[in-house]
Amino acid sequence: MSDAAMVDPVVSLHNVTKTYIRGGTEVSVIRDLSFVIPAGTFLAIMGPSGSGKSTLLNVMAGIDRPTSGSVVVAGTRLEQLSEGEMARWRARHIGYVFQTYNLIPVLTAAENVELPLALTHLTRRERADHVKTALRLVGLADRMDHYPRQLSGGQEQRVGVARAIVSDPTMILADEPTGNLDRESADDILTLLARLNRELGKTIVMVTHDPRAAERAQMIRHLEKGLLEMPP
Amino acid sequence: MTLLRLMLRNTIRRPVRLALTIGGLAMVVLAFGLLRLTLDEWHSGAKAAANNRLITVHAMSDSLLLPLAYRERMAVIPGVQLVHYGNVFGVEYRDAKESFGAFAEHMGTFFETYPEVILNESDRLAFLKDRGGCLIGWKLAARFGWKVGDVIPLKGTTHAGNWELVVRGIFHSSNPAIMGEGELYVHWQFANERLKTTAPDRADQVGWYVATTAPGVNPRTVVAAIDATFANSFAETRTEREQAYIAGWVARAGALLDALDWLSGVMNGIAALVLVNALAMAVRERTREYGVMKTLGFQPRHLVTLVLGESLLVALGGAVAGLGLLYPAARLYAVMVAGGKTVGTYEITAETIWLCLGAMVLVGLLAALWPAVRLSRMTTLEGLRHRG
Repeated sequence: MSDAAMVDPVVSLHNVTKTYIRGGTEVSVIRDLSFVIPAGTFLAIMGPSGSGKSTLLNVMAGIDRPTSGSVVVAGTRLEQLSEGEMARWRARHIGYVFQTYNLIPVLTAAENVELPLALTHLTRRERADHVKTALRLVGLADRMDHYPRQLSGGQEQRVGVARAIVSDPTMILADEPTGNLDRESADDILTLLARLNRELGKTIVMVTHDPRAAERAQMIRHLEKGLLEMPP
Repeated sequence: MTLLRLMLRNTIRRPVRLALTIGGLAMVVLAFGLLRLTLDEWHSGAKAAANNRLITVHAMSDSLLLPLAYRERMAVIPGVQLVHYGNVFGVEYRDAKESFGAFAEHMGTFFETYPEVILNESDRLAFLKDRGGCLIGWKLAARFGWKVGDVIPLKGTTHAGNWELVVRGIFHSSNPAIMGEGELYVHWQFANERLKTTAPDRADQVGWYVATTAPGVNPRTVVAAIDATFANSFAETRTEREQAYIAGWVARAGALLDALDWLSGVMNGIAALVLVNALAMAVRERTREYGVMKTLGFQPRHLVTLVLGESLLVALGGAVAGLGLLYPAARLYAVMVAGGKTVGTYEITAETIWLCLGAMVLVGLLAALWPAVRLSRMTTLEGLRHRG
């Protein structure tokens, strides 16, 4: 990303390092990482297993905290937030798409999508409108009352995407969103993410190890042993 | 609304486990309720006692007798309105298993002293006319199928010999805790006449006096005056208000009652363990979902509310099921306690219902404590990485 592209960044990482202690040994997952992601970007972060992709995504989502360095997302320095403040911040700014969908099995598609709205002050009618809109966007308006077990993997992931966008977050973070899907379903999800980026201007950061998935993004960065490969 | 829905759906998520947990809790509530019934039964007499009745017995022991001559001396004590007296009339029907409470009472004062007795006027007059007749409670009548006019052959224990009593009336009681409906009453004079020949040393003596006090009189003054009248005599008296007298009997069983109270506590502990186990399993299985919810922005208090609500719902489900079983069980329990033939006075009070519900609410809160603490301490990442 050039300096020109750094206008109005949504994500700004400065010298971020993340280490874990495993079996008494210190393991560096992310090493002194600094980069920015401009608003409206669809970025794919690639890398092999264990390269630190998911950890990087979790750090940007405020799910994990860096060992050192500074993380600013949507204008907020995350290291200054308490757990409670972080949760509130995440509810407002982050939509998260999981590899394994992670829908609540006892809730219908509509109820799953409605879940993040329980944290807002929207009325019941407003919540219902938001849910309908989100499910229509992902093409599942006719499956609102279906439980996750009644949906295919691709449909479950589309519900996951609807849940991520229903509260209109600043940024969507997707952790291997096509990892559990067949090629056709994966293409549907990637098309959907690209549409959300293109038509709604959503900033999307997607972690993947699949080059075909990464090709759908505007930008691709490779993470190798905790270091981000910057463009020449 | 979504959270409430989620709480309800989580509660019924594993129907078999839910049924077993509620069943376990219901059994505990049932046992707890039956214990409370027993305790209530013990305490009911003292609670229901009349304020104007004083009981006078031998100072050394309730089982020792007092002279009949005390009656006149008590009657002239200021504040005393009426003096009634009676004895235990020990009898059994066919064999020892078919015994019941029976009393020989002075019928000239019986109905006035115990207005709790409900009996139609013609039966009352028939009984008063027939000194060889008896009066029985409706539960005793139901137990043996006796009716008015039947001749009951009884074998005496405290009053030796065979007795053939004619049933002259079947009564109900407005206060079964004081005037039991499973008992039999005969004329004291009739029983005393027989004693004069079979056990003359026990004749013309009474087991207890019941003095009623006049309105506006301080019973304590009368209590002191009665005992003072017979102080330093060969048969000193101990007089108490009816309530204190019955409470004294209850207090003598204090250790047993304390044990029952402790047992009630232990049962609630068992209920808490049943629920903790079920809840801990459920929370462990759903740890990843809670991690997802935290990722979506839910805070520990939301998750704690979900777990707490579920715990209370299950606990209250157990309470309702247990109370539902308690009603038929109480009837069966009373039948068993009363010797397998009749219904006792065991009644489920509002206090017992509230105690059962309150105990289960407490169990629900306690059971949710540990899972709630665990969820509060769990980081989002730990939740997401959990493998159930």
